[in-house]
Amino acid sequence: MNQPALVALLAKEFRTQMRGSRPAVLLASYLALLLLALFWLYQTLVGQVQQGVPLIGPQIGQALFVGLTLAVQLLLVFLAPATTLNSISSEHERHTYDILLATPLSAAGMVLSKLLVGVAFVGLLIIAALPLYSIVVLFGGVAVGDLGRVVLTVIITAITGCTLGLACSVLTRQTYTATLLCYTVLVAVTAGTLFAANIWSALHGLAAAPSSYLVANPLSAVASALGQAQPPGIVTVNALRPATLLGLLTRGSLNLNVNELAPPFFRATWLLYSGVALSLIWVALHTVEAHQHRRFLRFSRSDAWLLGLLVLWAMLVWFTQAWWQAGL
Amino acid sequence: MNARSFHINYPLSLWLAWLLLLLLLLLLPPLAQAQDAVPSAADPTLPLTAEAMLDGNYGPYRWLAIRVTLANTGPDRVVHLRARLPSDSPPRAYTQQVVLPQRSEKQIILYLPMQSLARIAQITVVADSSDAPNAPDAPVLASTTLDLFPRIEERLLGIVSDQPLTLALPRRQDLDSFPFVVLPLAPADLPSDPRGLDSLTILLLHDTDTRLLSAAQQQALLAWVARGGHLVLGGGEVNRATPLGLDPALQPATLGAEQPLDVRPLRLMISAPPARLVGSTLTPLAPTQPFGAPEAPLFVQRMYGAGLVTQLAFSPTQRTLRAWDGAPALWDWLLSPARLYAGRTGIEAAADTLQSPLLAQAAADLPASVLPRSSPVFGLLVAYLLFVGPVLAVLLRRLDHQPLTWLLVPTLAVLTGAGGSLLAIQLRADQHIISHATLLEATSPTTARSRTAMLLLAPQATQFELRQPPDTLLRPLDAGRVGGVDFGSVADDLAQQSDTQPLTVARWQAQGILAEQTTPISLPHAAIILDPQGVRVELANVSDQPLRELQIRYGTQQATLASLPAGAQATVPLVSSVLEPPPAASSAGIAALGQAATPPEHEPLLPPVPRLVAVLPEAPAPLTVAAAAADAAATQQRSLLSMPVELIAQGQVDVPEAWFVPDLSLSAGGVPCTIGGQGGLLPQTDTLTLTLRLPDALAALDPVSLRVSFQSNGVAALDRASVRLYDWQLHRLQAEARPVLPPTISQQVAMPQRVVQHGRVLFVFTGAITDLGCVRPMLELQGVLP
Repeated sequence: MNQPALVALLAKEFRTQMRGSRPAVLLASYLALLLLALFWLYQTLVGQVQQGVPLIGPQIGQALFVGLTLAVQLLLVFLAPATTLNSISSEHERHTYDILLATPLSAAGMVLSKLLVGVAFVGLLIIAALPLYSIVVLFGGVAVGDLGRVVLTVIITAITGCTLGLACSVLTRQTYTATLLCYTVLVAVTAGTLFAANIWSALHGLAAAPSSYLVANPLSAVASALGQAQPPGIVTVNALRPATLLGLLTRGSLNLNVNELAPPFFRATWLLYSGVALSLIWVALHTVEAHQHRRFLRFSRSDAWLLGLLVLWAMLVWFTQAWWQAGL
Repeated sequence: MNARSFHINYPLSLWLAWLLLLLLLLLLPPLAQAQDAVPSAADPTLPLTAEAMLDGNYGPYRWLAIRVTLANTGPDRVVHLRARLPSDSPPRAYTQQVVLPQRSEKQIILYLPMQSLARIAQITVVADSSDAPNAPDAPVLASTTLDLFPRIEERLLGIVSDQPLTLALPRRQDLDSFPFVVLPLAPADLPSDPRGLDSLTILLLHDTDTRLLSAAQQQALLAWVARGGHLVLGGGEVNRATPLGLDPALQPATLGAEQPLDVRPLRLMISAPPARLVGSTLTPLAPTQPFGAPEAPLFVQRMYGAGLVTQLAFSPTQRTLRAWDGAPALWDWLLSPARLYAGRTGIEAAADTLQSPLLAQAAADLPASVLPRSSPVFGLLVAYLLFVGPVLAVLLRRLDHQPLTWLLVPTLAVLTGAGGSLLAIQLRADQHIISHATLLEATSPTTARSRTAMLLLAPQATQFELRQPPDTLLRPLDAGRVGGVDFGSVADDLAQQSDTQPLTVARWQAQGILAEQTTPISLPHAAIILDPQGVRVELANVSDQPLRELQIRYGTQQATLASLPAGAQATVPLVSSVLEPPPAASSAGIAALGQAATPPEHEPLLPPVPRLVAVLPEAPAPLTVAAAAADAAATQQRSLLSMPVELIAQGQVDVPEAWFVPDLSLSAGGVPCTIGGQGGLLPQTDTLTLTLRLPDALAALDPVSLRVSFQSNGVAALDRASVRLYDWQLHRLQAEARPVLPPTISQQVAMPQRVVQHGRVLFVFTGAITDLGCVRPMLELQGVLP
């Protein structure tokens, strides 16, 4: 890999990513939306307290934590692919793709630098949202472990989203088509799995749907990770809408017994998403290399690396069966 | 050895070394497992004997004392004694640490709360381990099991006698309810803690010198009676020393010379009294309720707290009594529980099982949440949003350093996050809830039985450390939903004779524990006064703290006072609670504690206890939480004092009508009912015997005038019923039958001295009385008290 070329490309990508007003507007809008959601939820809970509902501090803290995290995940699920959707397709559209391939930069360097910039921007969004959690600290009820589990789920989801956007961009070569393909997949994974789980639940007397229906759903995964920070049903359900949302997202049915902990299938989601992300990177990398060398069936060193990583991943999945299957 | 052979041999030795290491590694786990699996053989240097008190008989939810004798013939050691009931769920043990010097023997009393109907208790001695003293897999040094016998709706009669005593008790099959279980006890076996007497319903002291009892044993007897026990003292010459060592409150009369007793009053209960009964002359000490001829009563009774003391004039062992056919009926009548409550397992002789859920309910009335100020943190977040968004973008664009966003945004985010979190921690809301509800029931003028329900609630799984006086006994509160809060079951071992207790609380699962101890207390002076001026309550708060929400309750009458400052005195009128309902309690928790202080009786066998209940702003808490957890908690402590109030009557008085209560032991043919807020009887046969009784303090009343009217649900049936009064002097019913007239018409009774004796008036209703409905005579009695 030509390191000076890679550094130059990375520097250029990082510079161009922040060029113009778009990133600032995106960052400000994203934070403003989260802050508004947080404030609305806080006002709702305080309103309940003022009406005499016996909510205590940690309950409010946990409800705010659940609500804020769901909002972050919902925004990032759709924002993360957007950061890489045009990374390769725009090169095609600007007719600079072939020039790039002609440079000493390797295909792997090009693809990974595009992915890295996308992931870095999503990381920036995640870090920028962290101060909002200080309002959760004010009320308490959330342990460091809860925060770590949830942040890890959000990060894994965001990386997978970035790889999805990148793969779509590589495969379609057109930003418009890539966007269409990527968001079709996203809607299918988020709304589709939830819809299927709801149908299953409706057909089985509103029983909880099997976790396997929801394991691919990023919103369900984070809801499952939030299970340990679930506020109790000491109070009326209306007071804690995020808690009931957790039931809907993790069971496929509106479970009013919010005391029942959500199953921890987020572990399976972590492994699934890491496997999917590796596969998507492999697809993107192999496709770009195939373009570069004009041979689609060529098995390169990058392929060997990714195959090795996937084998390691498979071994990890095999040896940790008891751990991740506990939530299924 | 040349270089080549060295190169060939060295790998071989290396391989051997590796092989040995591998073998060692393979063998290590089985060796370790084998070490774990070594059966814990009994240590011959630690002989263990255990004995369940009361021969293992117990009432449900009571404390069962287990006496353990542990000897040590080996070196000095520290062990843990563990007692557990295999039927407890989740399994938990009650433990005590025992220091055993070399060649020593110790006797330890362990108390088991009988939450489940267990038939076996396991006692084990485990080695002390500083890492996990109560770990279930700690090596067992000695163990034994004990057989237990749950007794539901049975009368546990303890007999303390220097000589073997056999009573002609009714057989189990001859009784409809509450058969006897007789438990002979040596005087030395009487526990020195009232909790050791917990399961006993009645205790008979005969032919024993109570002066030989220790002060602790005497105090335990006093506390046991105050909590509802029935103490029976034998009479006759053989029992001259029996009452002498007891507290004066447990001595209703003094014993005089022996003489033949008038047995005719026994006809009221038993058709054929014994031919002859000899007994001591009892000189009642006021206030007491004698039964029998005024000059030589057969027995006298005195209420003390919720309990009863009966002193017999005769010896229970005398020959005529043993040969008499009616003896079983007499003992069934005399040896009855002081009070009965509809408890959790049926009819019970103590109110503990009714009180526990009410105490839990009081603790579950959680403190009001105080929300922290959120505006500083929200303000910081808004400023952060503005700076990270538009301000930073404009600034960097002007400087043409937009890539610095990559550095500045995370830096600002981390700084704001840290600052916001520090600010939030300063303003932070309480993380845990610690709620105490304490009921202090006076058991003597200077001591009270303190029962505290403690609720702990945490948003995450947390281990609290509780601090307690060493004599506190802990028991779990039942799991379930109480007062809108889910209580979990205590799974930790509960330590006894220890000043600390770890308690694990699951996330959002309230953990409840009940602490019980005897505590010294400074009680206020309270008395209900009946004299020529009328009825009133006199109060003097001699304690160093104010009393709030005072209520003095006596039957259907009550007096209330909002507060009584420390050192203050007050006089308040006693009024009908039917006409003037008491003011609502200041909180649901106090209301629940109030209900626990005055649990409803199943069938009132005795007159109600005049009782004062008052909120104590600062009561001694038997349980506290270690400082670190307590600092981050919303803590609430509610305490209610409950104590009996003295009833003092003197001079010429008009007896309040509500003070007459049905005496069910001298009534027949009806079941208890309520009419106009007062107790009456619902006739079940053609003849109804109804005795009304005054409190002990008015037993010596000399009646001057008596008017009678009748209150009944079936007014239409009044003209078909008639009533006769019992003449206590002639020991028969009066010849003249009176019509039962409506309550508006009262009839004057001639010679009231003959129909009112020891505060009792007996009516016999005949005719078409089954249509009367609930009936109650209403008495207007005037008399003179010495």
